[in-house]
Amino acid sequence: MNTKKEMIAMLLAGGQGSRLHVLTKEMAKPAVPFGGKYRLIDFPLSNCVNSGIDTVGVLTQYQPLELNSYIGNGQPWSLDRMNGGVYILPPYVSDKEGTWYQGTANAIYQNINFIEQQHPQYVLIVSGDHIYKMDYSEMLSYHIKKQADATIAVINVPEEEASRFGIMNTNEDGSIYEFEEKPKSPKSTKASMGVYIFNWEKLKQYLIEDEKDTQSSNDFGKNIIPAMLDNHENMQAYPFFGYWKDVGTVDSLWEANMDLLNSKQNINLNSEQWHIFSRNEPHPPHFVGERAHIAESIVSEGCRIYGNIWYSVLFSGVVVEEGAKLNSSVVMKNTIIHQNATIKYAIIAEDAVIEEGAIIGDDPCHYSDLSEWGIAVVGRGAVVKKGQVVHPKEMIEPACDRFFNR
Amino acid sequence: MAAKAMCILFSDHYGATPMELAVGRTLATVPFGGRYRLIDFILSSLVKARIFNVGVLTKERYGSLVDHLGGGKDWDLDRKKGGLKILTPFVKAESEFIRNRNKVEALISIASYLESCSEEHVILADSNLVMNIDFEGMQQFHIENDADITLLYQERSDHKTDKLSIGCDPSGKVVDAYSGPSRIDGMTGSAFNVAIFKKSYLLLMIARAHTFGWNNLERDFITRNIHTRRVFAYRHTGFSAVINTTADYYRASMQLLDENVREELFYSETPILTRIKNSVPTVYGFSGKVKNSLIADGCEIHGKLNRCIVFRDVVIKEGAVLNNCIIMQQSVIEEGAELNCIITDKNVSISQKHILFGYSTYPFIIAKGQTV
Repeated sequence: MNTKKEMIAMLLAGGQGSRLHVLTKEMAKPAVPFGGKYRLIDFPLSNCVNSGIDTVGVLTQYQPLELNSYIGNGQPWSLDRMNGGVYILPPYVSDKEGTWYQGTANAIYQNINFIEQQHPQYVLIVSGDHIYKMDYSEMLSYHIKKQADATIAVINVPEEEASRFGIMNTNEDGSIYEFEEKPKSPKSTKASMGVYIFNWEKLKQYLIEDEKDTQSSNDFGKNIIPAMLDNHENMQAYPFFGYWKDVGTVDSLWEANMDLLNSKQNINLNSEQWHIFSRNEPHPPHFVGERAHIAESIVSEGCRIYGNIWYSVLFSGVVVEEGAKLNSSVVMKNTIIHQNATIKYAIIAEDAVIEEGAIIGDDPCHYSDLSEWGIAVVGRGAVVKKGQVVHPKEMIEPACDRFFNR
Repeated sequence: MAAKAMCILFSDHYGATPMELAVGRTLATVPFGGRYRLIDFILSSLVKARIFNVGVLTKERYGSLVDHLGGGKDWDLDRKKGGLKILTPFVKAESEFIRNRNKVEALISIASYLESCSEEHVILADSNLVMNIDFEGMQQFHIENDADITLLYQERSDHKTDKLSIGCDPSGKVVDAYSGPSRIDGMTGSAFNVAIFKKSYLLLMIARAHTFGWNNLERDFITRNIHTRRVFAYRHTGFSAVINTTADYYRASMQLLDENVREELFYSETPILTRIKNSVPTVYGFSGKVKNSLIADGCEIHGKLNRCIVFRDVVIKEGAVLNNCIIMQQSVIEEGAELNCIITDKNVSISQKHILFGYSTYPFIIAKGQTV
């Protein structure tokens, strides 16, 4: 039973996110936890469902176990459908051959059969590692109105940052005439958000052509988009306004979590109209003890708080013993922070144990040379020993024998 | 691995006056513990013991129950074989039985349903029990002893006039039972309204009840037969709270603030499952001061709380001071309000600087949706 779809979504979730270092050692970037109870992939998935898209292919490759188990049958995002739903698409072998995904375009190319099964008119391509709320159906209306062959969502970035992004240079009518990847002297401030809508038949042609080119990196930004521009296809820039955060680095992931504590530049997760869904585990409500102090923080279910927490984000099941102090930190689920430990400006991954008196991270105001300061990171399941000091910018690896200890 | 028992849960009081919080909803759906409903505890124990065929008998005003349970998915009870079934009253205008006045009538109405199920044993239980029940052990005990009935009981030093007291021999067989005001030596076991019946025996009892007009489950099905049938009792150890009155409710709620009770109820091997709601994590503001309290998701805390249980999506504004309170979903406590020993039902609003004091022996309940 495969009725024709207007638009389906392909979610690129195969990346390693190497700039997140220890946090992505054992999981793909879209599975990275965020905001107390979410994972990065909740944003594009929720955006799809809220936009009325009921068929989403999730392309996985790097360390997919965490991501695949998390997505499951798609039920938390209402994507367990009779006709459509979420599909996990890993690289595969056929009787002729099989290769890993060689690039973003190659990943889509290898799934042409899947897309053809849905007979869509349009295909939405999004990445799984940005935090934002967007109505893709409005972007599609724009695409159709402008009779575009491809539409790329763009957001205005500050001029001094423009050279970090892929910049679209547009005509008066919004059509794109040039695309520059990280230009030294940017001609505009419209940065590509990595969200594309294509007419499927047209995209298919370009993907097939690109595969034949052995020199190509098989990448949307480097190959497909420039090829379409060269052929003077109708490429449109869809202007997006709102919160958008690329959480590719430790610093930006930390900042995005801290943003949740600042009501002025908040993504507003608590919106009735545009809810962000996630897979929830059963936890009791969190408990706050006699001598606990909590201010300006987010605390999730199942936590047990007996210490001091200031300006921090706590995921579920975190234990903070008496005398422990947290400041401007992100602590992921089931981590235990023992008595009198101090954690400042740090990200602690899941299942970690911070023993008594350990000191992790520090306040940047103590550093005259800020190049020596950074967010301290403790990897999943790691144990920071009694009295141990983890300096700002230092990273503790995830525990390697964790699976066998469980 | 497959369970040999199915379960029928009574979602409501039968005959007794419902407590204030159970007016307008079933006893099973009284909100408890910050994010649960009373029925969640027994459902979680059943699921832990792999008992997946659960029928919930309803009587009246069961809208909130249907809403809460849905198809049973959140308790892993959405199954092709067995699963959760909501057994609504079967009433015709000319029917003799009007709204299942007692448990016996309720059972008579589902006799054919019971017959159609393949399980050999049936657990009959109330849904107002806050405890982790070892149904796996109880089933095994029941089968090993070839019992017709196995009751669940706990040794208690205090005597409850409204509970059945039992005395057992060393093998666990019930030799005496007593339901009355004075305490009798040798009968220190206090029975819960949880029992496993051999299905063939239960169907026999139901048929007899219909024939002879029996109307009391405990007396006619159980105690009357302790000398003529194999009636055993399985011991429950650990925390237990039966919620019948507001006093029971308040006391059990405040007991959740004790670490040992929480540890046993929530951090044991039985996860307490409940309907999944997609709330955001709770946010604490600059002036939030919380002590000794249980707080659910979705809240905004700017006030002072001590020994409180706060449910989902509650807003407590700056200057509000709450002690020993239970605040249910989506309530709003405005600036400067002061509350002590108050229970607010869902969607209650307490206006600025309003002061409400109850006592721990007599907490005041503000009804659903009211504004003070």
